[in-house]
Amino acid sequence: MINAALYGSRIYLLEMVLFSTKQKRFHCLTNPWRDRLYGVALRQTNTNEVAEDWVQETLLRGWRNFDQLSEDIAVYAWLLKILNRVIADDLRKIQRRNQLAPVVTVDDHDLIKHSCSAPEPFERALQVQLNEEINTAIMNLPEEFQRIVILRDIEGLNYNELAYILDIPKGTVMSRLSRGRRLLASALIKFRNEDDSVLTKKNSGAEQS
Amino acid sequence: MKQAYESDSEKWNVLHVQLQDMLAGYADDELDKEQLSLVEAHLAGCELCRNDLARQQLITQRLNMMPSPRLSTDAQQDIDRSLSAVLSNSTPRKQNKIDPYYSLMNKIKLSFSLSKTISAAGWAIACVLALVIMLPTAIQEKTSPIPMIADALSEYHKHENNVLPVAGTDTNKAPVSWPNARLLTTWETTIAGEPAHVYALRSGRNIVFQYHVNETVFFRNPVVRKAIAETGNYKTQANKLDVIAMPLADTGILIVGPADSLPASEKILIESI
Repeated sequence: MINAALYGSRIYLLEMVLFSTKQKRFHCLTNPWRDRLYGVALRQTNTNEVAEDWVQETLLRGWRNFDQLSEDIAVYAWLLKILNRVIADDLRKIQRRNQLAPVVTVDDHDLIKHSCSAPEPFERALQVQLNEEINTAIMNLPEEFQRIVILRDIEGLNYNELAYILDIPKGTVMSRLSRGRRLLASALIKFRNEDDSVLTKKNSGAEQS
Repeated sequence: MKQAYESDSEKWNVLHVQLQDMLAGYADDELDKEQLSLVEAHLAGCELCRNDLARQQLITQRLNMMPSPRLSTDAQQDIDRSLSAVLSNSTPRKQNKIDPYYSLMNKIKLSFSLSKTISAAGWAIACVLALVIMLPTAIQEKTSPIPMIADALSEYHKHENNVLPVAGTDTNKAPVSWPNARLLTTWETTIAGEPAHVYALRSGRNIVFQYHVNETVFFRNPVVRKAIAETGNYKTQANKLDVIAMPLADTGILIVGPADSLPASEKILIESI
């Protein structure tokens, strides 16, 4: 009887050791990505606390589904896929999801008429644009474009990883990214144009006085 | 004639709209040959699409330079606290379905309940302990628990008895070299889910592979990080192969070859490529 109890406690101890190894493995694999996840989350909300909650929920769901992580999946892509679902669930709750995404073509009036839409002036405009202004422009993009632009152009993921994270075919990755970048370019051009016209008005006002 | 002209113009317009969705793929080098030639032909005659492509490339360059925010210490601690709360509430037995260690435990527990003898239980414990101790070693002998090392070893084994791939690039220099090493061929592969470059070299009578991997993959494993911090490189052996992992400026290199065929660390020269 005593031996049986001893055996039970030994087995339990052994299981605890294995379990704690698993915990350590989870920590080792996920800890280096926390800040990067937070960066991605923060670019999709205005509030630090919401971004922190999303990261926390991502890690908790990650732990619950840790056994699904196989060696052929990059840990960061796996975590981003979970983060993507966490954000989508949260946004669905506050009914922001079903916005109609506008489609901007290369023939769009804003992309042609503004003085800074040609490649060289556009490059100069981008160089002087503040990071905060660019962040705001990204945040104002429709959700599906916003996410793909962040993951590709800021996080540097390839099309296969994007297709895996967002659960969409590779062709959709390409078209969404083309449209998302075009929308962002259009927003930045408008932004620059408004800025310039405010500056021109100020200057002419100063000259008149 | 006029009709034919109008239909050509219509076709051009349809193509013009369709190909706009491929411009990101062109900018990111993600198109196949057929798509590539289609887009290039259109770009040659369409200034609007050329401008759009240039803007897309500029946006990518600019967004690449955006700084990454960091979690505050308070937020890190909050996450740690809630994770530990969840972890401490989880019971190891929940993992039985998937984890081979746990299923092994269960089987042995069952046999214990049937045996009903104390001495048999003692032997069972001894066997379980021996198995648990030996199992990871047996697995490690075959491959490696570190995904990048396991992938590098498996790629080496894959090509060991086959014809080596034809050079995929014009590169004529491997990232690192040593006396009597001669580059044979190079090709692209995937290591730990990320693209990597393989360089096959003849080193004396042996074939040695070099894998040029990105920084993220290279420093992903804490054991490798620790070894590099302490000794400058990470060495391991598996299945009669030796492995050396060395950091380069902003990448990493894995050298894999038959046991005792790799050069001493001090003989390895880093080439700039």
